Amino acid sequence: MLNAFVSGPQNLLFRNAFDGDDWSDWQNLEVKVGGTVSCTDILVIGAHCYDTSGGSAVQYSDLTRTSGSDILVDDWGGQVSGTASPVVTGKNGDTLHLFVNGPGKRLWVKSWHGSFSEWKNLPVAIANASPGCAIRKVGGNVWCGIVDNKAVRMIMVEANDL
Amino acid sequence: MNRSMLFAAAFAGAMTAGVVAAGAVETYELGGSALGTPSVVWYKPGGKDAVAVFVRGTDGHMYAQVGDGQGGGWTGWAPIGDLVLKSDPACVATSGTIIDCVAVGPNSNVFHIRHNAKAFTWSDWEISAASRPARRASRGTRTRMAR
Repeated sequence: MLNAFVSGPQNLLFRNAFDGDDWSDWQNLEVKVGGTVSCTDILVIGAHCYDTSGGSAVQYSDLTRTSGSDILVDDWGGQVSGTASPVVTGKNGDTLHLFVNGPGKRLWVKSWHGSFSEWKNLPVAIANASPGCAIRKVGGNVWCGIVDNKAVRMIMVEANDL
Repeated sequence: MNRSMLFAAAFAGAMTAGVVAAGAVETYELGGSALGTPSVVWYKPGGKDAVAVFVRGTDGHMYAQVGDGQGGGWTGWAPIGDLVLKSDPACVATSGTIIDCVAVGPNSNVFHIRHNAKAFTWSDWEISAASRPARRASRGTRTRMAR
């Protein structure tokens, strides 16, 4: 199942699901976001989206099973520029890394695996770019892409060091 | 997993904590002429791990490049479909050999395109809403994703 989330009319969050043949149609999740959201699927819980338009990372939880006031909204904090990139790994999809452009225009990451890590500063400058990242379910290296002055740069991060 | 911990433990922390060692990060310049934020996926074409990066080019079309996941083997940029996008593409590997991408296109509709790595094919961009007629957004030819 593929879930697509968008910020729609009145900045309300909408979801559409694709079963391989057909789309379900747009479902209004009846929660307002500040702008573009970045989403991922924490397999044992459901889809989570992150809104950084207010300068911190705000998490909207369990969006494949809840809507409206049932959606839990938590602020992960941070000093974020641009959009976040959440990635999930682990046998049960239960380890989450959230990559952002943070202080010093560097790549930062905050992780969750039963508990939260502190924000970590990765030793790579990314100018004003927002990262787009990916990791395998079995772990290993994380790849993040950025666009800096229209050119694409790929960044490989050893996951064991996160 | 203790679900409540995920929700309850969120906090507003200052970003001054850990620093990752410099040797843990490597960078690779892929060039191109792109806008916005790339979308990156791990997948497994031909039984081997690979990393694909998708961007919106300055001409509005989606472009892709594939690497071996170890830092080498980059293929060069290839155009995917012929839809002019209004947003960056968001892509995900829904299996080892299937990549789905969505993006906002003309008239603020959300479009979807699918790559089948077994068949080396891409679908056309199509509107992703059941309530609308399944009109075709693009009549682009199927595109082989170079590896």
